[in-house]
Amino acid sequence: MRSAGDRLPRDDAGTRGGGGAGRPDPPEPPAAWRWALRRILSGSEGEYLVGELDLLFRRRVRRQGEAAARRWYRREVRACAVRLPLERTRRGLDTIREGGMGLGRSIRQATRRLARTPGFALVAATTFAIGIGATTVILGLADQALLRPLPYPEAERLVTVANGWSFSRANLEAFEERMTSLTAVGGARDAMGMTLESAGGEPSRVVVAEVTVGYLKALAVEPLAGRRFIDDEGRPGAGAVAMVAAGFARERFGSPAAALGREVTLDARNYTVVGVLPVSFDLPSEANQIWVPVEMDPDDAGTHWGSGAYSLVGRLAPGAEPAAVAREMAELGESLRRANPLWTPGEGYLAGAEIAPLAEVRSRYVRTPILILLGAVALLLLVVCANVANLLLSQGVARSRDHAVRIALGAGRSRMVVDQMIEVMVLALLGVGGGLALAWAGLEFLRPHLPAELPGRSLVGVDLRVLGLSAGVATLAALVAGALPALRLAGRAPGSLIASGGDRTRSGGRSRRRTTRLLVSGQLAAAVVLVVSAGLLGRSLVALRGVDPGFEAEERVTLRIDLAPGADPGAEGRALELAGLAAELRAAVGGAPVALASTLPFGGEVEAMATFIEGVTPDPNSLPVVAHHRVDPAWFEVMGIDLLQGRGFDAGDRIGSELVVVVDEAFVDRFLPEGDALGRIVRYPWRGAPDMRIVGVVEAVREGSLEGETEPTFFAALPQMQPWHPDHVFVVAPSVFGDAATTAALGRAARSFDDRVALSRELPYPALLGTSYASARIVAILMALVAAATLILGAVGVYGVASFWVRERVRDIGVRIALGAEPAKIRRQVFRQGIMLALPGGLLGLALAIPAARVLDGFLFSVSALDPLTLVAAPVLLSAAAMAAVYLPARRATRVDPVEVLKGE
Amino acid sequence: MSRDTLGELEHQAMLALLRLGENAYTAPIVEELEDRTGRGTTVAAVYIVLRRLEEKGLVRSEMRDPGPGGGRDRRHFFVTDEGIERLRAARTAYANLWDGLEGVLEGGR
Repeated sequence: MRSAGDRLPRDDAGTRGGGGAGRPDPPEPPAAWRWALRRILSGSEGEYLVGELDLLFRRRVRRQGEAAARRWYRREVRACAVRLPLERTRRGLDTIREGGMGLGRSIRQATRRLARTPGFALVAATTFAIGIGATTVILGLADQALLRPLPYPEAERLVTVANGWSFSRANLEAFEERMTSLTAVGGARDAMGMTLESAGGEPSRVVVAEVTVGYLKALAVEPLAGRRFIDDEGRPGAGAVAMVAAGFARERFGSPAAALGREVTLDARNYTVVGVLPVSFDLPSEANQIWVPVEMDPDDAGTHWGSGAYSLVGRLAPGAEPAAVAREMAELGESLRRANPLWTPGEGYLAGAEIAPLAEVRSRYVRTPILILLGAVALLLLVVCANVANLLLSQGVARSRDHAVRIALGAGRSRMVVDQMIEVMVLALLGVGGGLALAWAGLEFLRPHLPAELPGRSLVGVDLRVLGLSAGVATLAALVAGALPALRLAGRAPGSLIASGGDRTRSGGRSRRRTTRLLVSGQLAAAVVLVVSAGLLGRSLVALRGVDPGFEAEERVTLRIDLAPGADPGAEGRALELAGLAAELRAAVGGAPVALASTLPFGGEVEAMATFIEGVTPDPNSLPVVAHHRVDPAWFEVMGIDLLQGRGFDAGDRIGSELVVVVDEAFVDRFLPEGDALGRIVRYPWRGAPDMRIVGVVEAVREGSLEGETEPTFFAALPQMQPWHPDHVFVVAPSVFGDAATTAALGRAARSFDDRVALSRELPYPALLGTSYASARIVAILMALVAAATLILGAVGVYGVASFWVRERVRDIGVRIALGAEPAKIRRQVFRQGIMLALPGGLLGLALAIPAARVLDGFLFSVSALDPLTLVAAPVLLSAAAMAAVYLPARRATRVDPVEVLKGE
Repeated sequence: MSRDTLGELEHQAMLALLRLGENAYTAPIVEELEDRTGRGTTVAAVYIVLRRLEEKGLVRSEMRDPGPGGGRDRRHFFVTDEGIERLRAARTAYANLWDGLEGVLEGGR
């Protein structure tokens, strides 16, 4: 294109007759103004106007002289600068206003059209609702666990140790004083149970966390009321203070503000409440209701270098990387080692800590399952889109005449595409309504079953964020679902629309049917992938539940009793107390055997120690760490643990008699495989620990996980009160009156024995086992639900295709029936249609399911990702669903009345 | 409705288009208006009016090759049938309004 700056002698010559040839160059408009004009105007329209002004300028020069023409030109440029942008704005506003009015009208029209076909609208909106509901549930979980930033200021600067290290108080003190890559650092000891006294009420057990002053400072958590701990409160001799959870404050004191300055009595010690932490605060664990400061004595640091119990949270200094923290920690470890010669930690002390963002570490156990579930709902959503697209396509056929008429009347094709998209949007909006209701109900139902590993599980729900996410998903789904039918609408001539409206077997119908079949096959393939995944997870879960923990959990209840805090009765006194308590408890369940233990397998607490085993290794630095439970003589009987060798405990095993232990088979297999375990000595690791003699071997008992190898365990005799006497016991009793009634009876008995005891964890034993596979269970259940929804939608798709096939051929079928065709033959033909749909979809699904199953591999327990049963069962299930979907159309086909059909012609 | 009444410049521009016939592109239209009305106007104002008339369907335009002489493509404007109809209605309305007022004008002179 020529630029408007070209000289234009011919323009002049053409209109005013003056010849340009031989003259000197005509004068130019003022260059700066012309340049400015070009900036104001743009595009070809602008070039055109610049040219017109050039032309007029030259004529004016001739008529009025150059100076006047220049003045004129400047005025024109100013006018353009003001008027043209204003005009553009006016046009823009007009377009928006008209567009808005048009949109409102289109929505009304779309709603009216949908109201005329309520069946279609209902099915399509329900389909959307299923997809959006399922997606919202998973998004709700993902949002809490993965997407949402932690509720602390500049949370991205918070780091922790990813490889499960814990630290001593001396470590924390050194970190706080010397580390420069962290601006604040602190530690917390998780989930200690303490007995909370209530004025006039029963004592109860609360979960208390011990935190350093730096811990809350590093998190920078804002208390709901009051304040965080201040430095002096971590020093010995400071008054006992506590912070409490918002829920606790409301329950006990009426409101967070009312809690300030009040006292709570924990293990017989009074603490003054100085602050209330918000509901969203769930560190170090979600169960915490009370936080108390760790006592840190700077003068005493050297005495507690050893193993620590404190998890770490730090706030990165601006610009610092997690790797810098790890480096600094290792250097610090080295200097601490040299500075404390009395205590001899190994080479590389504090080296190798994996420092990672807190948010990442919190969600590490749930990240992959949630991503897998997100993948599953994404597939489900695609199936939803395909289904709705199919519905729209068949609806489009029904409306072909309508469309053709509108086009003939001058409706723009783009207008009709927009109308179609608006219709899908309206359907999706209805789907959002239904989907959110589904999601809300689903999350309410799920919340109590969510595994403890899921961060923020108590906060999971439908809120504005989740609402926004699901609205985004719905829009996306509507666009995808509407795209294909809209494209078909855009690409067809009105003639073909009229033709296909008039005679559905012509070519337009053929391409539509191809599209439909493709969509249905895709849906079925997705269904197979998800059914296989759900099948594998389900089988894995069944396998996990089938693992023998080494004891009988069924028909047994448990209860934790924290004995009265305060005055220590001594070992003898505690032994007497427990004997009395046991007698009381036995009486409460009608004389059935009742067992007491310091800890329970799968009870959530483990006593494990470096243990000397005679004949294994004498080196004190390489003693194996072995878990043990201290149990009373009734234990093995109540728990159904079989004795393999020697004896269990009896009344003779008490304080003063020879100390005895019973080991399990895993212990023998690992440490004493020669089979001569009986009579050997076991000792705790400290100097002067007494010998304990192995007197029996029982079957292997699992400790806290049904997966993997059974870890070695030994049992000590609780009545011997070694190595110290316990301040609490777990009770296991047969569920003689049913679970709830039995635990209630046991609780009453314990209280009548001593009304200062605190009761907690009143649970059926199988529920304790269940917590160990809660994640696996919830993932399997959700996957099964998503798979079922997909399968149902796939079947709906097959049904749609088959019934359309029948409807299209009503005349043929009628004629054939009139000519004496067997109904069975016609039925077979319809079923063949179903198989033709199911077969490619099923095969494609299987091909895709195999790589998909590999993703699940890490979650499968004793089931192969290529489990033949699942891989066979899924296509069988799919075929059954397809056949069921075809059944109704097939029956309809055989009941075609030839007379009616021919009359209709 | 404001859209139905012709503004003064709109009215004048359409008349100028009719006068210029095949030669009606922006520059001559501006000159025609200035020459005939004796009043100055700006290219911007005229251009905006022409595009508005086009939006209303009273004028149509097309980019035309400048012909054998060469030069730039130009946007030529034409009055549509609807535009003619509107001008006719306007003239009738004005004529009706003027009817019997000739004396007043003569007297005013």
